[in-house]
Amino acid sequence: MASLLEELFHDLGRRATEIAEELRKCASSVPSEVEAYRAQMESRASRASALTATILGDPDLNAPLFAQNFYRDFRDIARLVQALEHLPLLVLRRFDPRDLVMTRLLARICSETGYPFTPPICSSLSSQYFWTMPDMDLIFVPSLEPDRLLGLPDIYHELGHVLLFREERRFKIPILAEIERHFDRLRRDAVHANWPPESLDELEGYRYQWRASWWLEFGADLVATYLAGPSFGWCNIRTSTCLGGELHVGNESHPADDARATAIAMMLDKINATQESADIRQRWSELVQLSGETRPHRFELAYPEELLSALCDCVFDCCNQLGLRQWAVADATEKTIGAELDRAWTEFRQRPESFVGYEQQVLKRLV
Amino acid sequence: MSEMSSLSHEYVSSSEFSRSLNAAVLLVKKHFTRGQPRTEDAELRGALERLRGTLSALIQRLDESAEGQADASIPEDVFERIVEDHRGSVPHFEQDLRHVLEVLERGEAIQRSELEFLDALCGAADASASATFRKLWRR
Repeated sequence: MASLLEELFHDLGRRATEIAEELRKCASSVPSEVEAYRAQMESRASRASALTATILGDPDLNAPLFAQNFYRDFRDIARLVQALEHLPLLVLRRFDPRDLVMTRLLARICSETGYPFTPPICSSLSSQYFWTMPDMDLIFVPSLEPDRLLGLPDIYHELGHVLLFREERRFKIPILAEIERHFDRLRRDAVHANWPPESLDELEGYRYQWRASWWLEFGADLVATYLAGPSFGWCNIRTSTCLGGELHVGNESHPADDARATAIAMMLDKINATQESADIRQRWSELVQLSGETRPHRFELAYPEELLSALCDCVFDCCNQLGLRQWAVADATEKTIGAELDRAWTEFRQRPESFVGYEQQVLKRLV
Repeated sequence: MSEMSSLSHEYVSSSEFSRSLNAAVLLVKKHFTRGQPRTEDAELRGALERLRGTLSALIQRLDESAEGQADASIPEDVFERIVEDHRGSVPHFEQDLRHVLEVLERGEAIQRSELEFLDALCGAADASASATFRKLWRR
Protein backbone atom coordinates (compact mmCIF):
# COMPACT_ATOMS: atom_id res chain seq x y z
CA MET A 1 0.00 0.00 0.00
CA ALA A 2 1.21 3.50 -0.83
CA SER A 3 2.20 5.88 1.95
CA LEU A 4 0.24 9.08 2.55
CA LEU A 5 3.02 11.15 0.97
CA GLU A 6 2.98 8.93 -2.14
CA GLU A 7 -0.80 9.32 -2.43
CA LEU A 8 -0.51 13.09 -2.08
CA PHE A 9 2.23 13.39 -4.70
CA HIS A 10 0.42 11.08 -7.15
CA ASP A 11 -2.73 13.18 -6.92
CA LEU A 12 -0.75 16.40 -7.20
CA GLY A 13 1.17 15.15 -10.24
CA ARG A 14 -2.06 14.22 -11.98
CA ARG A 15 -3.54 17.67 -11.31
CA ALA A 16 -0.42 19.43 -12.58
CA THR A 17 -0.43 17.32 -15.75
CA GLU A 18 -4.12 18.06 -16.38
CA ILE A 19 -3.56 21.80 -15.95
CA ALA A 20 -0.61 21.69 -18.35
CA GLU A 21 -2.79 19.84 -20.85
CA GLU A 22 -5.66 22.35 -20.51
CA LEU A 23 -3.24 25.23 -20.94
CA ARG A 24 -1.87 23.53 -24.06
CA LYS A 25 -5.42 23.31 -25.47
CA CYS A 26 -5.85 27.06 -24.98
CA ALA A 27 -3.20 27.60 -27.68
CA SER A 28 -5.88 27.36 -30.37
CA SER A 29 -8.13 29.98 -28.80
CA VAL A 30 -5.97 32.73 -27.27
CA PRO A 31 -4.91 35.78 -29.35
CA SER A 32 -1.35 35.87 -30.63
CA GLU A 33 -0.35 38.56 -28.08
CA VAL A 34 -1.14 36.16 -25.27
CA GLU A 35 0.47 33.02 -26.73
CA ALA A 36 3.90 33.52 -25.16
CA TYR A 37 2.24 33.94 -21.77
CA ARG A 38 0.12 30.82 -22.28
CA ALA A 39 3.21 28.80 -23.22
CA GLN A 40 5.05 30.08 -20.15
CA MET A 41 2.21 29.02 -17.83
CA GLU A 42 1.99 25.63 -19.54
CA SER A 43 5.69 25.21 -18.94
CA ARG A 44 5.28 26.05 -15.24
CA ALA A 45 2.54 23.43 -14.89
CA SER A 46 4.68 20.87 -16.73
CA ARG A 47 7.65 21.63 -14.45
CA ALA A 48 5.42 21.13 -11.40
CA SER A 49 4.37 17.77 -12.82
CA ALA A 50 7.99 16.78 -13.53
CA LEU A 51 9.12 17.86 -10.06
CA THR A 52 6.38 15.74 -8.52
CA ALA A 53 7.56 12.73 -10.51
CA THR A 54 11.17 13.35 -9.39
CA ILE A 55 10.14 13.46 -5.73
CA LEU A 56 8.06 10.29 -6.12
CA GLY A 57 11.21 8.60 -7.44
CA ASP A 58 13.34 9.75 -4.49
CA PRO A 59 14.38 6.69 -2.45
CA ASP A 60 14.24 8.80 0.73
CA LEU A 61 10.61 9.81 0.27
CA ASN A 62 9.29 7.49 2.95
CA ALA A 63 12.18 7.84 5.39
CA PRO A 64 10.75 9.36 8.60
CA LEU A 65 13.65 11.81 8.99
CA PHE A 66 12.81 13.49 5.67
CA ALA A 67 9.01 13.17 5.73
CA GLN A 68 8.29 16.71 6.93
CA ASN A 69 10.60 18.23 4.33
CA PHE A 70 8.89 16.31 1.54
CA TYR A 71 5.51 17.28 2.94
CA ARG A 72 6.58 20.94 2.81
CA ASP A 73 7.66 20.40 -0.81
CA PHE A 74 4.24 18.93 -1.47
CA ARG A 75 2.47 21.93 0.05
CA ASP A 76 4.63 24.33 -1.92
CA ILE A 77 3.93 22.61 -5.27
CA ALA A 78 0.25 22.17 -4.34
CA ARG A 79 -0.10 25.92 -3.80
CA LEU A 80 1.51 26.60 -7.19
CA VAL A 81 -0.77 24.09 -8.91
CA GLN A 82 -3.85 25.61 -7.29
CA ALA A 83 -2.78 29.11 -8.26
CA LEU A 84 -2.16 28.00 -11.87
CA GLU A 85 -5.65 26.51 -12.08
CA HIS A 86 -7.44 29.37 -10.35
CA LEU A 87 -5.66 32.22 -12.10
CA PRO A 88 -3.89 31.79 -15.48
CA LEU A 89 -5.97 28.81 -16.58
CA LEU A 90 -9.22 30.56 -15.64
CA VAL A 91 -8.12 33.75 -17.39
CA LEU A 92 -6.88 32.05 -20.57
CA ARG A 93 -9.89 29.75 -20.98
CA ARG A 94 -12.20 32.77 -20.78
CA PHE A 95 -10.01 35.35 -22.45
CA ASP A 96 -12.44 37.73 -24.21
CA PRO A 97 -12.26 40.90 -26.34
CA ARG A 98 -12.38 43.17 -23.27
CA ASP A 99 -9.39 41.33 -21.79
CA LEU A 100 -7.56 41.81 -25.06
CA VAL A 101 -8.34 45.54 -25.05
CA MET A 102 -6.93 45.90 -21.53
CA THR A 103 -3.91 43.73 -22.32
CA ARG A 104 -3.14 45.89 -25.37
CA LEU A 105 -3.56 49.11 -23.41
CA LEU A 106 -1.27 47.75 -20.72
CA ALA A 107 1.33 46.76 -23.32
CA ARG A 108 1.23 50.32 -24.68
CA ILE A 109 1.59 51.77 -21.19
CA CYS A 110 4.60 49.51 -20.59
CA SER A 111 6.18 50.59 -23.85
CA GLU A 112 5.50 54.31 -23.25
CA THR A 113 6.90 54.27 -19.72
CA GLY A 114 9.99 52.17 -20.41
CA TYR A 115 8.76 49.33 -18.17
CA PRO A 116 11.75 46.97 -18.26
CA PHE A 117 9.96 43.59 -18.24
CA THR A 118 7.49 41.70 -20.39
CA PRO A 119 4.11 43.42 -20.02
CA PRO A 120 1.65 41.53 -17.82
CA ILE A 121 -1.63 40.05 -19.06
CA CYS A 122 -4.83 41.78 -18.03
CA SER A 123 -8.15 40.14 -17.23
CA SER A 124 -11.50 41.77 -16.48
CA LEU A 125 -12.68 38.95 -14.21
CA SER A 126 -12.02 40.71 -10.91
CA SER A 127 -14.46 40.87 -8.03
CA GLN A 128 -11.81 42.62 -5.88
CA TYR A 129 -11.36 45.92 -7.74
CA PHE A 130 -7.87 46.16 -9.36
CA TRP A 131 -5.37 43.60 -8.13
CA THR A 132 -2.22 41.77 -9.20
CA MET A 133 -0.59 38.38 -8.91
CA PRO A 134 2.95 39.72 -9.44
CA ASP A 135 4.85 36.46 -9.92
CA MET A 136 2.33 35.36 -12.56
CA ASP A 137 2.32 38.69 -14.43
CA LEU A 138 -1.45 38.91 -14.10
CA ILE A 139 -3.46 42.04 -13.44
CA PHE A 140 -7.17 41.81 -12.72
CA VAL A 141 -9.64 44.65 -13.24
CA PRO A 142 -13.42 44.86 -12.69
CA SER A 143 -15.53 43.72 -15.63
CA LEU A 144 -16.52 47.13 -17.04
CA GLU A 145 -13.20 48.94 -16.52
CA PRO A 146 -12.14 48.31 -20.13
CA ASP A 147 -15.03 50.65 -21.08
CA ARG A 148 -13.91 53.49 -18.79
CA LEU A 149 -11.05 55.94 -18.56
CA LEU A 150 -11.29 57.48 -15.10
CA GLY A 151 -10.24 54.33 -13.22
CA LEU A 152 -7.51 53.40 -15.69
CA PRO A 153 -4.71 55.22 -13.80
CA ASP A 154 -5.11 52.52 -11.15
CA ILE A 155 -3.54 50.08 -13.60
CA TYR A 156 -0.26 52.02 -13.13
CA HIS A 157 -0.53 51.24 -9.42
CA GLU A 158 -0.83 47.52 -10.22
CA LEU A 159 2.11 47.78 -12.60
CA GLY A 160 3.92 49.32 -9.63
CA HIS A 161 3.20 46.18 -7.62
CA VAL A 162 4.75 43.99 -10.33
CA LEU A 163 7.77 46.28 -10.46
CA LEU A 164 8.19 46.22 -6.66
CA PHE A 165 8.11 42.43 -6.83
CA ARG A 166 10.53 42.06 -9.75
CA GLU A 167 12.94 44.67 -8.38
CA GLU A 168 12.25 43.94 -4.73
CA ARG A 169 15.77 44.34 -3.39
CA ARG A 170 16.37 47.58 -5.28
CA PHE A 171 13.28 49.17 -3.73
CA LYS A 172 12.99 47.37 -0.41
CA ILE A 173 16.48 47.79 1.03
CA PRO A 174 16.59 51.62 0.92
CA ILE A 175 12.94 51.86 1.93
CA LEU A 176 13.43 49.57 4.94
CA ALA A 177 16.49 51.59 5.92
CA GLU A 178 14.35 54.76 5.96
CA ILE A 179 11.55 53.05 7.91
CA GLU A 180 14.03 51.82 10.51
CA ARG A 181 15.81 55.16 10.75
CA HIS A 182 12.54 56.97 11.41
CA PHE A 183 11.04 54.49 13.85
CA ASP A 184 14.35 54.11 15.72
CA ARG A 185 14.38 57.86 16.20
CA LEU A 186 10.72 57.96 17.23
CA ARG A 187 11.35 55.17 19.72
CA ARG A 188 14.36 56.92 21.24
CA ASP A 189 12.30 60.08 21.66
CA ALA A 190 9.40 58.10 23.12
CA VAL A 191 11.62 56.30 25.64
CA HIS A 192 13.21 59.60 26.56
CA ALA A 193 9.74 61.06 27.12
CA ASN A 194 8.79 58.10 29.36
CA TRP A 195 5.98 56.79 27.17
CA PRO A 196 4.05 53.90 28.78
CA PRO A 197 4.76 50.39 27.43
CA GLU A 198 1.43 50.21 25.56
CA SER A 199 2.30 53.37 23.60
CA LEU A 200 5.71 51.92 22.73
CA ASP A 201 3.92 48.76 21.55
CA GLU A 202 1.65 50.91 19.37
CA LEU A 203 4.73 52.52 17.83
CA GLU A 204 6.26 49.11 17.14
CA GLY A 205 2.95 47.99 15.63
CA TYR A 206 3.21 50.81 13.08
CA ARG A 207 6.81 49.90 12.35
CA TYR A 208 5.69 46.33 11.64
CA GLN A 209 2.85 47.47 9.33
CA TRP A 210 5.27 49.64 7.40
CA ARG A 211 7.80 46.83 7.00
CA ALA A 212 5.22 44.17 6.21
CA SER A 213 2.82 45.77 3.75
CA TRP A 214 2.41 49.53 3.89
CA TRP A 215 5.68 50.12 2.04
CA LEU A 216 4.22 48.10 -0.83
CA GLU A 217 1.05 50.19 -1.12
CA PHE A 218 2.85 53.51 -0.76
CA GLY A 219 5.52 52.23 -3.16
CA ALA A 220 2.96 51.21 -5.81
CA ASP A 221 1.18 54.59 -5.43
CA LEU A 222 4.44 56.46 -5.86
CA VAL A 223 5.50 54.44 -8.91
CA ALA A 224 2.05 55.10 -10.41
CA THR A 225 2.33 58.84 -9.75
CA TYR A 226 5.86 58.92 -11.17
CA LEU A 227 4.59 57.26 -14.38
CA ALA A 228 1.06 58.63 -14.79
CA GLY A 229 1.31 62.02 -13.08
CA PRO A 230 -1.75 63.98 -11.91
CA SER A 231 -4.32 61.56 -13.37
CA PHE A 232 -3.29 59.07 -10.69
CA GLY A 233 -3.87 61.72 -8.01
CA TRP A 234 -7.37 62.45 -9.33
CA CYS A 235 -8.09 58.77 -9.70
CA ASN A 236 -7.00 58.20 -6.10
CA ILE A 237 -9.74 60.56 -4.89
CA ARG A 238 -12.30 58.65 -6.93
CA THR A 239 -11.05 55.27 -5.69
CA SER A 240 -10.95 56.42 -2.05
CA THR A 241 -14.58 57.51 -2.26
CA CYS A 242 -15.86 54.49 -4.21
CA LEU A 243 -14.26 51.71 -2.20
CA GLY A 244 -15.68 52.79 1.16
CA GLY A 245 -13.80 52.90 4.44
CA GLU A 246 -12.67 55.85 6.51
CA LEU A 247 -10.18 58.31 5.07
CA HIS A 248 -7.87 58.37 8.09
CA VAL A 249 -7.95 54.72 9.08
CA GLY A 250 -5.56 52.17 7.65
CA ASN A 251 -5.70 48.41 7.97
CA GLU A 252 -3.36 45.41 7.95
CA SER A 253 -2.63 45.67 4.24
CA HIS A 254 -3.38 49.31 3.36
CA PRO A 255 -2.29 52.58 4.95
CA ALA A 256 -4.92 55.30 5.46
CA ASP A 257 -6.18 56.99 2.29
CA ASP A 258 -5.29 60.40 3.70
CA ALA A 259 -1.63 59.43 4.15
CA ARG A 260 -1.61 57.97 0.64
CA ALA A 261 -2.98 61.23 -0.76
CA THR A 262 -0.18 63.10 1.02
CA ALA A 263 2.48 60.81 -0.47
CA ILE A 264 0.99 61.12 -3.97
CA ALA A 265 1.08 64.92 -3.69
CA MET A 266 4.73 64.73 -2.60
CA MET A 267 5.63 62.77 -5.73
CA LEU A 268 3.67 65.21 -7.93
CA ASP A 269 5.74 68.04 -6.44
CA LYS A 270 8.89 66.03 -7.06
CA ILE A 271 8.09 65.56 -10.74
CA ASN A 272 7.33 69.29 -11.01
CA ALA A 273 3.57 68.95 -11.33
CA THR A 274 3.23 71.48 -8.54
CA GLN A 275 0.08 73.25 -9.71
CA GLU A 276 -1.70 69.93 -10.24
CA SER A 277 -0.45 68.76 -6.85
CA ALA A 278 -1.96 71.85 -5.21
CA ASP A 279 -5.27 71.36 -7.07
CA ILE A 280 -5.46 67.72 -6.02
CA ARG A 281 -4.62 68.57 -2.39
CA GLN A 282 -7.38 71.20 -2.46
CA ARG A 283 -9.87 68.64 -3.78
CA TRP A 284 -8.76 66.15 -1.17
CA SER A 285 -9.35 68.72 1.58
CA GLU A 286 -12.86 69.21 0.19
CA LEU A 287 -13.41 65.47 0.41
CA VAL A 288 -12.19 65.34 4.00
CA GLN A 289 -14.50 68.20 4.88
CA LEU A 290 -17.40 66.55 3.07
CA SER A 291 -16.86 63.30 4.94
CA GLY A 292 -16.87 65.04 8.32
CA GLU A 293 -13.96 62.83 9.35
CA THR A 294 -10.99 64.11 11.29
CA ARG A 295 -7.47 62.84 11.83
CA PRO A 296 -7.43 60.46 14.79
CA HIS A 297 -5.10 60.84 17.74
CA ARG A 298 -1.51 59.86 16.81
CA PHE A 299 -2.16 59.81 13.06
CA GLU A 300 1.22 61.50 12.60
CA LEU A 301 2.87 58.73 14.58
CA ALA A 302 1.61 56.12 12.13
CA TYR A 303 2.38 58.22 9.06
CA PRO A 304 5.28 60.62 9.77
CA GLU A 305 5.49 63.17 6.94
CA GLU A 306 9.27 63.00 7.07
CA LEU A 307 9.11 59.27 6.36
CA LEU A 308 6.61 59.76 3.54
CA SER A 309 8.98 62.29 2.01
CA ALA A 310 11.98 59.96 2.36
CA LEU A 311 9.96 57.13 0.81
CA CYS A 312 9.05 59.39 -2.10
CA ASP A 313 12.77 60.14 -2.65
CA CYS A 314 13.65 56.41 -2.57
CA VAL A 315 10.98 55.47 -5.12
CA PHE A 316 11.92 58.42 -7.34
CA ASP A 317 15.59 57.33 -7.32
CA CYS A 318 14.76 53.67 -8.01
CA CYS A 319 12.47 54.60 -10.91
CA ASN A 320 15.25 56.78 -12.34
CA GLN A 321 17.78 53.96 -11.96
CA LEU A 322 15.44 51.64 -13.88
CA GLY A 323 15.16 54.16 -16.71
CA LEU A 324 11.41 54.52 -16.27
CA ARG A 325 9.94 57.52 -18.06
CA GLN A 326 8.80 60.14 -15.61
CA TRP A 327 5.49 61.86 -16.38
CA ALA A 328 5.97 65.50 -17.35
CA VAL A 329 3.50 68.33 -17.84
CA ALA A 330 4.67 68.55 -21.47
CA ASP A 331 3.45 64.98 -21.97
CA ALA A 332 -0.13 66.23 -21.85
CA THR A 333 0.15 67.21 -25.51
CA GLU A 334 1.37 63.79 -26.61
CA LYS A 335 -0.69 60.87 -27.84
CA THR A 336 0.38 58.50 -25.11
CA ILE A 337 -2.14 56.75 -22.88
CA GLY A 338 -0.77 58.73 -19.94
CA ALA A 339 -1.52 61.97 -21.79
CA GLU A 340 -4.99 60.74 -22.80
CA LEU A 341 -5.76 59.98 -19.15
CA ASP A 342 -4.54 63.38 -18.10
CA ARG A 343 -6.79 65.05 -20.69
CA ALA A 344 -9.67 62.77 -19.73
CA TRP A 345 -9.48 63.87 -16.11
CA THR A 346 -9.27 67.53 -17.14
CA GLU A 347 -12.31 67.07 -19.38
CA PHE A 348 -14.25 65.25 -16.68
CA ARG A 349 -13.57 67.96 -14.12
CA GLN A 350 -14.63 70.69 -16.56
CA ARG A 351 -17.63 68.99 -18.15
CA PRO A 352 -18.68 65.94 -16.08
CA GLU A 353 -22.19 65.97 -17.60
CA SER A 354 -20.95 65.31 -21.16
CA PHE A 355 -17.93 63.21 -20.27
CA VAL A 356 -19.41 59.87 -21.41
CA GLY A 357 -19.42 60.95 -25.07
CA TYR A 358 -15.84 62.21 -24.80
CA GLU A 359 -14.76 58.99 -23.11
CA GLN A 360 -16.27 56.81 -25.84
CA GLN A 361 -14.47 58.77 -28.55
CA VAL A 362 -11.13 58.48 -26.77
CA LEU A 363 -11.60 54.76 -26.11
CA LYS A 364 -12.42 54.17 -29.77
CA ARG A 365 -9.20 55.93 -30.72
CA LEU A 366 -7.11 54.10 -28.14
CA VAL A 367 -8.25 50.58 -28.96
CA MET B 1 -5.43 48.54 -5.08
CA SER B 2 -7.27 45.74 -3.32
CA GLU B 3 -5.50 43.93 -0.50
CA MET B 4 -5.01 40.99 -2.89
CA SER B 5 -1.98 42.66 -4.52
CA SER B 6 0.00 43.08 -1.31
CA LEU B 7 -1.16 39.70 -0.02
CA SER B 8 0.00 37.98 -3.20
CA HIS B 9 3.37 39.76 -3.02
CA GLU B 10 3.76 38.73 0.64
CA TYR B 11 2.75 35.18 -0.25
CA VAL B 12 5.34 34.87 -3.02
CA SER B 13 8.09 36.26 -0.77
CA SER B 14 7.26 33.84 2.07
CA SER B 15 6.85 30.95 -0.30
CA GLU B 16 10.21 31.52 -2.04
CA PHE B 17 11.93 31.88 1.34
CA SER B 18 10.28 28.71 2.64
CA ARG B 19 11.07 26.68 -0.48
CA SER B 20 14.72 27.66 -0.49
CA LEU B 21 15.18 27.05 3.25
CA ASN B 22 13.47 23.66 3.10
CA ALA B 23 15.58 22.58 0.11
CA ALA B 24 18.77 23.57 1.97
CA VAL B 25 17.77 21.70 5.14
CA LEU B 26 16.74 18.58 3.20
CA LEU B 27 20.07 18.50 1.40
CA VAL B 28 22.05 19.01 4.60
CA LYS B 29 20.04 16.29 6.34
CA LYS B 30 20.65 13.82 3.52
CA HIS B 31 24.38 14.46 3.56
CA PHE B 32 24.86 14.32 7.28
CA THR B 33 22.74 11.26 7.91
CA ARG B 34 24.90 9.44 5.36
CA GLY B 35 28.09 10.74 6.90
CA GLN B 36 29.30 12.20 3.59
CA PRO B 37 32.11 14.75 3.61
CA ARG B 38 30.66 18.27 3.56
CA THR B 39 33.06 20.24 1.44
CA GLU B 40 33.14 18.22 -1.78
CA ASP B 41 29.71 19.03 -3.03
CA ALA B 42 29.02 22.48 -4.53
CA GLU B 43 25.28 22.07 -3.99
CA LEU B 44 25.87 21.29 -0.32
CA ARG B 45 28.20 24.27 0.05
CA GLY B 46 25.43 26.44 -1.37
CA ALA B 47 22.90 24.98 1.04
CA LEU B 48 25.18 25.57 4.03
CA GLU B 49 25.79 29.12 2.89
CA ARG B 50 22.04 29.63 2.62
CA LEU B 51 21.53 28.37 6.17
CA ARG B 52 24.38 30.47 7.57
CA GLY B 53 22.94 33.56 5.87
CA THR B 54 19.46 32.93 7.27
CA LEU B 55 20.71 32.28 10.81
CA SER B 56 22.90 35.38 10.76
CA ALA B 57 20.03 37.53 9.49
CA LEU B 58 17.76 36.17 12.22
CA ILE B 59 20.32 36.88 14.95
CA GLN B 60 20.73 40.39 13.62
CA ARG B 61 16.96 41.01 13.51
CA LEU B 62 16.52 39.70 17.06
CA ASP B 63 19.19 42.01 18.42
CA GLU B 64 17.00 44.75 19.88
CA SER B 65 19.97 46.97 20.63
CA ALA B 66 20.90 47.18 16.95
CA GLU B 67 19.31 50.06 15.06
CA GLY B 68 18.67 50.34 11.34
CA GLN B 69 17.53 46.77 10.62
CA ALA B 70 17.32 47.07 6.87
CA ASP B 71 17.65 43.33 6.27
CA ALA B 72 15.24 42.34 3.51
CA SER B 73 16.06 38.64 3.35
CA ILE B 74 13.53 37.39 5.91
CA PRO B 75 9.90 38.13 5.04
CA GLU B 76 8.16 40.06 7.82
CA ASP B 77 5.38 37.55 8.40
CA VAL B 78 7.93 34.72 8.68
CA PHE B 79 10.00 36.71 11.16
CA GLU B 80 6.90 37.58 13.22
CA ARG B 81 5.83 33.94 13.30
CA ILE B 82 9.28 32.83 14.47
CA VAL B 83 9.25 35.47 17.22
CA GLU B 84 5.70 34.46 18.19
CA ASP B 85 6.72 30.78 18.32
CA HIS B 86 9.44 31.71 20.85
CA ARG B 87 7.61 34.36 22.83
CA GLY B 88 8.84 34.16 26.41
CA SER B 89 12.02 32.33 25.45
CA VAL B 90 13.65 34.60 22.87
CA PRO B 91 17.05 34.75 24.68
CA HIS B 92 17.17 30.94 24.75
CA PHE B 93 16.18 30.81 21.08
CA GLU B 94 18.91 33.33 20.22
CA GLN B 95 21.41 31.16 22.05
CA ASP B 96 20.33 28.14 19.97
CA LEU B 97 20.62 30.19 16.79
CA ARG B 98 24.17 31.22 17.67
CA HIS B 99 25.08 27.64 18.55
CA VAL B 100 23.82 26.19 15.25
CA LEU B 101 25.49 29.00 13.33
CA GLU B 102 28.79 28.24 15.05
CA VAL B 103 28.46 24.54 14.17
CA LEU B 104 27.87 25.45 10.53
CA GLU B 105 30.71 27.97 10.47
CA ARG B 106 33.23 25.64 12.13
CA GLY B 107 32.33 22.80 9.78
CA GLU B 108 31.48 20.44 12.63
CA ALA B 109 29.23 17.43 12.19
CA ILE B 110 25.59 18.41 12.61
CA GLN B 111 23.68 16.62 15.34
CA ARG B 112 20.07 15.55 15.22
CA SER B 113 18.98 18.26 17.67
CA GLU B 114 20.50 20.91 15.40
CA LEU B 115 18.69 19.47 12.38
CA GLU B 116 15.46 19.56 14.38
CA PHE B 117 16.13 23.21 15.18
CA LEU B 118 16.59 23.99 11.47
CA ASP B 119 13.47 21.98 10.67
CA ALA B 120 11.47 24.09 13.09
CA LEU B 121 12.53 27.22 11.19
CA CYS B 122 11.40 25.58 7.94
CA GLY B 123 8.10 24.74 9.62
CA ALA B 124 7.53 28.37 10.60
CA ALA B 125 8.34 29.59 7.08
CA ASP B 126 6.04 27.03 5.48
CA ALA B 127 3.23 27.78 7.93
CA SER B 128 3.55 31.46 7.17
CA ALA B 129 3.43 30.94 3.39
CA SER B 130 0.51 28.59 3.80
CA ALA B 131 -1.46 31.01 6.01
CA THR B 132 -0.99 33.90 3.57
CA PHE B 133 -2.00 31.67 0.66
CA ARG B 134 -5.19 30.72 2.46
CA LYS B 135 -5.98 34.39 3.08
CA LEU B 136 -5.71 34.92 -0.68
CA TRP B 137 -8.45 32.39 -1.30
CA ARG B 138 -10.58 33.50 1.68
CA ARG B 139 -10.78 29.97 3.10
